[in-house]
Amino acid sequence: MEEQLISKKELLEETSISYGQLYRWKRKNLIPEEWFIRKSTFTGQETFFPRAEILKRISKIQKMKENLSLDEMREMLSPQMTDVNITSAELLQKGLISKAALQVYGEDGVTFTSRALLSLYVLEGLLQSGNISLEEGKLAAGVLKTYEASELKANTELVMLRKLGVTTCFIADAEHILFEPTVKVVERVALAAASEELKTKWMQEDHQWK
Amino acid sequence: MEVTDKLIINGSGSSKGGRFHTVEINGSGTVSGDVECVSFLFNGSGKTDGHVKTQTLTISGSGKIGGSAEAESIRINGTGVIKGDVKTERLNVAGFSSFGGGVKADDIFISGKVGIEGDCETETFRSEGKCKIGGLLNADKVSIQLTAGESRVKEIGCRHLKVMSRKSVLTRFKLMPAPVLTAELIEGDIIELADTNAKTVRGNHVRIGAGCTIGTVEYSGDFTCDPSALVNKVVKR
Repeated sequence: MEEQLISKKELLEETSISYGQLYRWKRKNLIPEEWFIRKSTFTGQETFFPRAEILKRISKIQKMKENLSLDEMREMLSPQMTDVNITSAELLQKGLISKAALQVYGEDGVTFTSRALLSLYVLEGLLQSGNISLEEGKLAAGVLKTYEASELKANTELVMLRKLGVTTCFIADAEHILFEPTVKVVERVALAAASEELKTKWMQEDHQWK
Repeated sequence: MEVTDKLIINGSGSSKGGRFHTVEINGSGTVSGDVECVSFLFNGSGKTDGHVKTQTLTISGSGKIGGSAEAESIRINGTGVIKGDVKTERLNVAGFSSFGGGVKADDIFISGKVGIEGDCETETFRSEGKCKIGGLLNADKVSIQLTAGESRVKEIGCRHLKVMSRKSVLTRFKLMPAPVLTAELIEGDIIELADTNAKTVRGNHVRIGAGCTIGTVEYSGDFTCDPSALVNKVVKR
């Protein structure tokens, strides 16, 4: 465990940020509260962070802060998405979503909200992986569509299972899911992570989530 | 909000909560249930046991909110007690107030005494008098003016912290307890302290003023220390 943590002091030295910045980012929820791990050391209480995550997050913030305000960054880093409207034609043009995914999703020529876009993006990933068939994609699209109205939680996953050639798929926000051994888990997609990924891609396209 | 109803309780009465335009409690009224309104005003000793969501919340006299409070601005003149979390842009306290949860704001100004059980997050924090914060005070700019008695903050994390101490004639003659700020941990870019007891102080520019007792100072830029201050250990990074 020890080597995966970084103390606050080391972190500041390594990333050359100041206390003021660190605390400001915490205030703006750019760094999640759970990452602040308190431990007592021989010099008193010290705060530690999960090493890989915090270093990645800080370099991301430093890169983004040149052209984004802190509030915009918070929007981006939080798994919840804000409103967006985009037509299928625009999506194809950007190359964000393929035609196949759009067809499987089934609503061609309409505008998509942010949540629908997330479903599409997840679907696109599933199809791209080559692990699922188009029929199975439709199955996933159905589940994703019904889930669009619910709130996205941090550990929400889309799970796709296959047993004896029959496929099923569901969305869960449980910490552990246990399967019987004969079941083949085809795909597990963490929706919050997918959302973050989608947003990063979107921002690179020079768009703003308004 | 298109609700135009006003809820006014004069004298002693009680009402259920709901959505209103304005809520005014004059005397000792009680509102039970959650309230959503444009302005909420306590005059006298009002009470509500639910959550309050409003634009301006004013407590004059003594008001008590059993749940959490969300408002654009909160003004407390006299005694205010909010048991739950507080979320606002401006928090202004003149007198005494106690918050049972955490406080999130943009600007906090306190003159008098305040107690916050949880964490306090704000851009600017100014206090004149006494403050007790059970968690972390996280702010961009913190200015604490001590007058008498003990102020206590568990942890301070900020960009710029300035603690000033003003000793009145009464404290000089020991009629009032001497002012002191006690903290476990202070971290910031610029730290200026006076009359402060702290276990650990970490910063870039650290200035320890008169009357301080500090366990360990860790600094990376510059460090000055008043001859009357007591610093156990100084580490340069």
